[in-house]
Amino acid sequence: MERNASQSNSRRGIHVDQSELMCKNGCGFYGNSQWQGYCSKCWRDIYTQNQQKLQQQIDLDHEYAMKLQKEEDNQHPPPESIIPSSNPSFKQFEDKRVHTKGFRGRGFKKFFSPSSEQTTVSPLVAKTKSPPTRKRQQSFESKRASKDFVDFIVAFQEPAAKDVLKKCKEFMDKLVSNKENSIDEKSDMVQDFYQVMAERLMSHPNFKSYTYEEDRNKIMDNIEKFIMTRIYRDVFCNDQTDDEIEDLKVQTRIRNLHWITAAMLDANVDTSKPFVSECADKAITAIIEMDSKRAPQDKLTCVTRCSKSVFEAIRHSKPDDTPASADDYLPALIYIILKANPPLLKSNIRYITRFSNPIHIMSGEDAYYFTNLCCAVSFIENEETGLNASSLSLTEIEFGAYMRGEMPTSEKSELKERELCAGLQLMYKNLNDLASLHERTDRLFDEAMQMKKGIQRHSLHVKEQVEKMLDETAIDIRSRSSSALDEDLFDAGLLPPPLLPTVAHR
Amino acid sequence: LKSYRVFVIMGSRTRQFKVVLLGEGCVGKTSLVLRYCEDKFNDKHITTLQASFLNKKLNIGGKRVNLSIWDTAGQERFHALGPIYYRDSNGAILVYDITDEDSFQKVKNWVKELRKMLGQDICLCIAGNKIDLEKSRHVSVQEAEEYAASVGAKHVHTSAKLNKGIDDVFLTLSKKMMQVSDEQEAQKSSTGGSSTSVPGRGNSRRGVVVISNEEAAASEQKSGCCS
Repeated sequence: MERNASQSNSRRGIHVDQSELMCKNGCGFYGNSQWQGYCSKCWRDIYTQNQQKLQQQIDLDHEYAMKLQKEEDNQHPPPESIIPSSNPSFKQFEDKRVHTKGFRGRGFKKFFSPSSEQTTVSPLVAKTKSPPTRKRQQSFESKRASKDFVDFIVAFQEPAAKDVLKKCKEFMDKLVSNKENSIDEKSDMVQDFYQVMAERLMSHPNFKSYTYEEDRNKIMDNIEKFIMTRIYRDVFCNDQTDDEIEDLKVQTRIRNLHWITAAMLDANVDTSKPFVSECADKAITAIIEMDSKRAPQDKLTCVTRCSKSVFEAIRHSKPDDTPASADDYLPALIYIILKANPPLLKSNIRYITRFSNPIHIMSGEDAYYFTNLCCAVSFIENEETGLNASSLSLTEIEFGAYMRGEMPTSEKSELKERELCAGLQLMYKNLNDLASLHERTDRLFDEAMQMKKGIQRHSLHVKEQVEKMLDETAIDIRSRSSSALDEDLFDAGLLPPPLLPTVAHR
Repeated sequence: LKSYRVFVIMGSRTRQFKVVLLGEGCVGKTSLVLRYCEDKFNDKHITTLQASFLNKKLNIGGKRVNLSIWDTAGQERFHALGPIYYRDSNGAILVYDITDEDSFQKVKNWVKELRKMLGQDICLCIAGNKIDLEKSRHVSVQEAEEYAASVGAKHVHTSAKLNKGIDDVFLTLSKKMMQVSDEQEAQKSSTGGSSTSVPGRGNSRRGVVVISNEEAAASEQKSGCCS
């Protein structure tokens, strides 16, 4: 029984319900998380449907832009019918256009016009440039980003929107024409662009209506999101760099450190409490999710969400109710990262450092959490000054034994016991209960058998005794003849005649 | 390929400063910052979930200042992570416990390291905390103040418990940081940095942010390489 328990300990993984494995469409096949829980067939259908929808929206935008351009040329008020009534921002935008006719729409035209009209065909800005028939294959995310971006700038005031579009387009073209640049040169280009745009937003007359810092930051965020989502594949975990090797190194290192417990790190994360372990799970999910986001700001949001969950976990683990300080936070974060082993950790950090708008990673809360993430990773990576025997208050021998997986199993299972989730703990408790129940039944059975034997022996004994007794006393029970003494005499008529009364005369 | 970006904000109505709190564990960094930002000490009603990152808005002589206060993990084993924490910071508050000679020694180490890595760009303030425990003082006032003066740092005695000297620490540091940023600004404009020209610089410069509410704010950049 014990052996069984330790075996299942080592095989401990994520528990997935059978029903969650099935296709979300309920077609009876198995689904896959890669296909958002659908089976391959259903996912293909849904995907093409989405693609079509998106394409329709893009075509609509494109059509609209073309219409705008035509009207511009004809100097006619636009017919109401072409305005998509569902989109209020379009209407608003349109109205403004009618009021202030002039030299504009060129930016829109350029941005939306098909590639046949384009002098420089940029594959990166291919979204609306190519007609649907010969469109370049673009990822779902890129299309989404383009759509979001168009939605965002359409809500702008006219000159500002035109300006931003034009600048972004120019920049994308520039990036494409310098495709051979190293990653650092690209990073510099992006950073320069942020800088130029930030200055432009502040000083250019086109943006004079955006006096609030929040508004400008919002514009900057959208620019960042758009550009970075588009060039993500080219610059993330680029093969010119050693990012991938570093990723693997960190991953292996974390895997080798799987035995570390919260207590060893002095992390105030008491996972035996259900709420704390829930928070820890949330934090782990958030940090793993970071890899799936494209824009640096979205990745940073994941880091922040992870950190908030860490703080929540600390607060519910601490005996006193004081807010968590950095002394509590960093060890807890390290523990979470060790438990999560997030994919492509190094690549993500480097990508954020290279391409995030510096405002996000140098000031503010996000920056603080990101810095702590960098600290945690640096601590885990570094064997000399970071995570080693002395920083875990272990001896070199103990540390080595842990690293080689040679630590006695009893301690291991005891350590593991503490980090199991509540459900598993309950399961093990139940298993133990069942085992003891089993034992007791066995004992009961044995006792019953013994009792049976006892009874048998007893009855035998009684029998023996009775026989013995019978032998000793030897009562000869005669047949019933003795009780009917005169029977035979009666039959035979041998009885003397009954005595007759006689009178005695004397 | 480590890139150190220098965060310089100038000519803006709101100045943004990053301040790191350094010091050994248990010297009371957290109590200090909580007392400053929430005016609370060992209080049940502290609203913030964490005391590791806090913002404080100040108004000094009509100028708006926004302090981002970054707490750092004080445990010895995290000492090597210091540079990641204090890069790009404008100021540092070095906290020691007046009853603990060792913690003062740690402050000295920090100062040495900060000056080596960031030079004179970072403003320093040394806080001798826990003066409510004056009786068991182990670091002499004279020694501490002389040391602070020798490294160009201001020394303040504080007590988070009694709420003494806390505002003073942050105010002194903020004034100093403003002075330094003004000086840098003046220096830049005298060397001919212009704000509106589109930068056509080489690759040496990275990630400079200018936040300004003024139309023609002076935008400056600084090539940052501190490693």
